[in-house]
Amino acid sequence: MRSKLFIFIVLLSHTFVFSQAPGHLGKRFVLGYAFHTSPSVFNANAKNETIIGRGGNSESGNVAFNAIHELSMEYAISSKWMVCFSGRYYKTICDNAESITVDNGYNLQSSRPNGYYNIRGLTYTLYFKYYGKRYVAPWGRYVMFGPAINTSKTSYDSNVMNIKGANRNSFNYNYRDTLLSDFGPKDQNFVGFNLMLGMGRSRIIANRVVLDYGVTIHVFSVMSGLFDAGDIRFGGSKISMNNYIESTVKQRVRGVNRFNAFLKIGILLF
Amino acid sequence: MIKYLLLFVLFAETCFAQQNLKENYNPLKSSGTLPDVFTQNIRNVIKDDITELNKQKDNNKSIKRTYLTETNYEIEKIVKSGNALVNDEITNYLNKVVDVVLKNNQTLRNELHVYTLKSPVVNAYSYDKGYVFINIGLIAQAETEAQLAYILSHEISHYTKKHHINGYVENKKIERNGYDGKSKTDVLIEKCQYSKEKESEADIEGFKLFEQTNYNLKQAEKSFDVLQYAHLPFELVEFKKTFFETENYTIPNGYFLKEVSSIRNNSNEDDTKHTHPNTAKRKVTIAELIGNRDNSTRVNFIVSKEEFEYIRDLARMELCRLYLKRRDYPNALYAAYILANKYPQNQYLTEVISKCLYAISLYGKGTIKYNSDSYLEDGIPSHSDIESYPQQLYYFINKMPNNEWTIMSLNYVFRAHQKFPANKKLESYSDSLFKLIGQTNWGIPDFVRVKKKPVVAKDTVVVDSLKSKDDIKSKTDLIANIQKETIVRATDTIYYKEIYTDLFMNVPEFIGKFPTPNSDNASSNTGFSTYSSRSSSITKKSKNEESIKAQAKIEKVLLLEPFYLKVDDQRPEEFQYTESDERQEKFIETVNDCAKRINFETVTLDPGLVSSTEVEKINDYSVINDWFAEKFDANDDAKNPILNTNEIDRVIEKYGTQYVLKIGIVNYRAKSGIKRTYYYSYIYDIKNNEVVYKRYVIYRDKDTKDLINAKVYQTFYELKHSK
Repeated sequence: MRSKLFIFIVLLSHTFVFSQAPGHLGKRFVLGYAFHTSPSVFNANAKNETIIGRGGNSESGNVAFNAIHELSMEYAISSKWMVCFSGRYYKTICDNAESITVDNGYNLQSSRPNGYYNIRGLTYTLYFKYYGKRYVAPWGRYVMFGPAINTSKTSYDSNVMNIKGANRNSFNYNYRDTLLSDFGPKDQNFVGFNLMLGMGRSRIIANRVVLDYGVTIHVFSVMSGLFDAGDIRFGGSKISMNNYIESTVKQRVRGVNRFNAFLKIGILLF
Repeated sequence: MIKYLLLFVLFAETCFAQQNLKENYNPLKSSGTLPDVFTQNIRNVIKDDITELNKQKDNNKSIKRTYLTETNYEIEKIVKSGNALVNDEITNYLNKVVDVVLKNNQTLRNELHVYTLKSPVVNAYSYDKGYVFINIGLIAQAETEAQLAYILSHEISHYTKKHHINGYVENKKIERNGYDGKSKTDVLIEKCQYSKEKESEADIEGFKLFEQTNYNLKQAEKSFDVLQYAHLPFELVEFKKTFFETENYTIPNGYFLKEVSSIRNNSNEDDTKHTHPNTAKRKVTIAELIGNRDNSTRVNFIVSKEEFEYIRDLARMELCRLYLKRRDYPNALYAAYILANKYPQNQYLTEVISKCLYAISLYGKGTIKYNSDSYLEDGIPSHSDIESYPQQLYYFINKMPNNEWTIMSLNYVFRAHQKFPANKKLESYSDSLFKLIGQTNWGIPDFVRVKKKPVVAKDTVVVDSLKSKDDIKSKTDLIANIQKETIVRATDTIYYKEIYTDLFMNVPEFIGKFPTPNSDNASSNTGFSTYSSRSSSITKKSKNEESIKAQAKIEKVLLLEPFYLKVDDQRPEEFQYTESDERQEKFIETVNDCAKRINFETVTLDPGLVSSTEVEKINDYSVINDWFAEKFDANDDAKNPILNTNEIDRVIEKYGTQYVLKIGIVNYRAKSGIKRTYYYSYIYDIKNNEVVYKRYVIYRDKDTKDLINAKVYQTFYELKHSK
């Protein structure tokens, strides 16, 4: 870690000394807010609406969008390069669509849990913007890339998320309705790693306001897109009530971060 | 009172002090207070003109509005180009002649603004706003004051008859009527026909004005001869080789034609596709107007014959410089040769001749090059394309081998340097010629350094009988000529052996500078250190981007007229003059703002930003503009010497920098809607004659403010941080 930090500092100091015209009219630091959005293809939003519904009540096929808010800090280290850090926040739900297996002899009405669970996600990205030839950071066309850490926190309400089932009474052999709602701890935390790629275009208004727009993808999410769509899983244990959230949350997080268009407003501070 | 007296003395000195052309000539300069056309806001002028037009009943208002916009910008461009002279001796004289012509019409006189234009082209023209421009080339060719008076009368008639605006409207109408069933040639002929009618009208109306004076009416007719033979030098003087010969140096006759060609008479040529009637027709018209009018008491000169001749000589002197500016060395040499016969002690003429000899030496070596951008696209023309006496000079230039030309040039230039030892330019050309001689392999020790006996002209006899290629009629003649040519080649190493003998014997400076086989000069293969090419440092990143990084520390630049142009093919008029003008103002602000932000020192030299008292800025701008005109005549990256102006050193000293920044933006929108923005910034080292910084980029985008800010700032940042 120390060696990576050292390389980073050397790179930064080198570009300070030999860089050409970094920043716009000498201003290099941009503090920005961005709104990212993408169609919610699988699973759900809070209204259980998706373009392609697949389970529970989400078969409506209505248009729905993911929404991500981002705060970023960007610094021009040369005429071509910017080093940036951002935090993305999103709040969504996962509409339950996966079948689970219950081993204790219950006769389930449906293998899919009813309802949904909530997800609050935070994505931290350290990324670099590289401006195309003829452009000068932070103005112009660029590509960006960098590692991203996806963190997510889930919570569920057992009144909303549950499975109706029945088990046979051993005394009179009658079936008795029951409600299964224990999907593990109410709040669960998860962490994932991804690689962000993007491209965009930034304009500068009145020498102070940066208007930035473009698209981003999370590479591993894109790569796993087909598997997610086909509900193909590799390895791992069967989905049970205890690991249901763990097994499904990553798919939803990938869905949110897979591909987004964004519009960013930034301020050139110094 | 004393103040007014001093002012009068200063004014009188400016107006009446004549140059002593026997000794020297100082290039023409503007002086005094600049007229309104230099200082007025062009957009306001156009606005006023259009308001005035809107008050009138006119069916062609739309076309005329465009005309007013275009013409006002055109006039501004001419006036502020640095080529228009204000309050100089020639312009003052022309105004005196106009005073004579319009003695009885003071109202019209007050509407006219007459300027001299520093152009070698034999031409004059006028605009509807009363601006009359007379080129130096025309004044140099005029034979009498009366001829100038008639030409001015002709131009004044164009103004009074509003030919310029009517011609514009007519041409637009012809274009708008379309090409239905007509070829482009038909449309051209239609336009030319209209133009010819107006020219004939101006000839007649001009004559009416002219006959009100006491000028010789025959001179009106003669003025068409001046135009007819405008392609010939202002005087036809036999070019004699003795001009370059010295006591021990005789140039072989084989380098000269026995006879020169006659002058072709094409006065009655087909003028169908010409804007002016042919001169024969025009002469007939004037001759008919003169008819039997009494011409006996009329004179060729009213203002003054002496002043006319002096003014004409000034124009002729200036003409030499203008020829140098477009690298037309043979014409410059011939013009200077003619004048040198009249003013043999004139230092300026000696310098012009030296420059020409030196430049032709470089041309022969391939150092000076011409290309499609050049006035002389294909280089120095063949003598067969030239008429009359000048043909001799062209033949001489093309016939004499380059090494011999260089030897002859050094002989002339070094002696000129001896004659005018204080002239640093002559010394530098002489030094450069020494270097050129050092680079040759013709056997430097062969020059006779001590005189033994007089040169025997044995070789010359052989050469005398050499026929020019034009004289060769048959195969046997050709064979004989080739054989004789071989003899010339075999012996011509001899005729110049004693050329420097007296210099070797008597001038230590010559001995010291003359290259020996082992000296640096002799062994150098790189050519002139001052004129070596640095094109290898150019980085061509793509077809859309090209740059040179500044190699030297640049702390201050002279900002030369930042440029902005908007071109829009989607609009009826593709050039958006007014919008370009507005954008240019903002662009200048941006450039200065960016320089200020980065603490980079700039001095702006823009003829559009001068006040009426800043005539010196116009003169400085003119000097730099002349420098660039000659620079751009050649390949941009070539380091051809700039010879037309010696004043560049003064400008460098005055502004404290040798770096000139040319910066600009061209924004273009195609009919298809495609947008392009072209940004360029070049820095020229006008002392060392090289491009030291270059950035040229094309964007597929609009000319947004952030684009402009980013690029201009980047330019200054790179300059500020250049090593």
